[in-house]
Amino acid sequence: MSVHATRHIRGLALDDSPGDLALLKRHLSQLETWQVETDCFDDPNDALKAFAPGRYDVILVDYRLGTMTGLELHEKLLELGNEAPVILLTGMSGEELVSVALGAGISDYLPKVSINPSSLERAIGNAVEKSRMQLALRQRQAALEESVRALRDRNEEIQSFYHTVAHELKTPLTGAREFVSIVLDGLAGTLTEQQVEYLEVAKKNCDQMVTCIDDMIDVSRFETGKLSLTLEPLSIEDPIQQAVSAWAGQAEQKGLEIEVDCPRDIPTVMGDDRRLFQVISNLLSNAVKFSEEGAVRISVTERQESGWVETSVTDTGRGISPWNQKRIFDRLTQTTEEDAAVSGGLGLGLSIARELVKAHGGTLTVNSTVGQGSTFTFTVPCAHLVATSAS
Amino acid sequence: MKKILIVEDDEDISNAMAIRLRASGFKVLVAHDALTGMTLALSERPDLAVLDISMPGGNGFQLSDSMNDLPPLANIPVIFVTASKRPHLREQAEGCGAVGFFEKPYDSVELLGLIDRVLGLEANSF
Repeated sequence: MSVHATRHIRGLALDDSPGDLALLKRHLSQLETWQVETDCFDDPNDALKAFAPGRYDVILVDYRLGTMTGLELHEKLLELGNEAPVILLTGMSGEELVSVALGAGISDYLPKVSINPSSLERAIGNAVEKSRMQLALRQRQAALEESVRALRDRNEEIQSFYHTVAHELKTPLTGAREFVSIVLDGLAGTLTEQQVEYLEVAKKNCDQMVTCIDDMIDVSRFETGKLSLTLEPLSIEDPIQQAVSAWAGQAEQKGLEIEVDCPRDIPTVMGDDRRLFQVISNLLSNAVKFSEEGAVRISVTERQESGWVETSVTDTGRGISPWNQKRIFDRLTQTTEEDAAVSGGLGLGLSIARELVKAHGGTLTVNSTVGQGSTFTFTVPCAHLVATSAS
Repeated sequence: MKKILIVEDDEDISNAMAIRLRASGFKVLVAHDALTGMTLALSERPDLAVLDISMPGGNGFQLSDSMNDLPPLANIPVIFVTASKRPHLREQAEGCGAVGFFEKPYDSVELLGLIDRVLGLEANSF
């Protein structure tokens, strides 16, 4: 009983010495594992003419071929689309040639002196097996690339769907909000105080829905890796002041003060103005919503040693338990039903704020004691820090 | 009386804009697609155009480019208004030479303020 089943393969043998070629052919006919049907050539140009991609399973080439070297022939075969393993045979020896040959993609190297049926058996076995594995690897890689492409396309589709939904929701919402505003601004006649009050409610609810739609788009951007920031050197005080203006009215209604402590010598940060406004506005809106008395405080400090600017928003709310502190940055989290009623929205605000800060390279953290309020702190890099690391 | 061209495919929104602008003393021209917008721009030579971006049959950017290519319309200031959140629209609007970019729902006070500033009517608004 034979240990190895005989496998039939097609080979190409090329040697400009007729004696060596005849010997090689005889050795090849004596292999146990491989039954090699060999086309023999003593002229490289004849071999190139006979070659076609996929025709041979193994190619055995002498290094010295007269008009060209075995390596040059190998290059020409590659150009013709050869994927079969090439074994280089030579009378010369030398480490340098071996390393050049292997670097050029030659599958194996056999000195002519050591060519016999068993060394050929081994070399062909290795070469064929290696080539089979390389092919399998290439196929897997191609399949993987195809999967990645499909996922990327799917990502685009999802993102595009979110954009379509947002557009289709916002268009009628804009119409509704605008006509409410037109009536509210007295362009359709004089209003009673009660009518003004009711229309203000309608308008506020339109705005709330806009925030929800924008939040939804932002989250879809994080999920599909599509968030892009427009970074430029700016003073952190600008987005802070914009956010304070946006929430001053609500704070005043609740009898709350908003205090800002931003020293004049705070360095310029590298950030996206509108996105930083969004972060601060979110933190400030939460602080105003959850505080019942006293002041909401925004303070800015420079972490001198590290080149980061730190902004904190402190409220006098009821505080957040350690368990909830871990959860509030998760998506869709409102810690209690009551909180949900107070804050409104989809519960995406803090998770969006954290992602936006992260996109700036910074961190957003909370420090809170139940019954004593909460402080949310985020960091953004100073412009000079970013400039240094970029260069 | 300054003339303002609105090109906006949503009739309710174009109506709302027209009401605001007329109340502020402008003559308002309305088109609901880019082609009609171009025709009106050529025949009426407005002082400023407010363009929606996503419209059937040619978007606001294409309309703005076409206007820029025609010498008599090239200097008409353009403000884009869009309900789309697709990325880089603001940059694209700047690239078209627009004087303003608003996301819907827009703030009418800001929109009217910008129009007054661009048309040099600021003094009148006080």
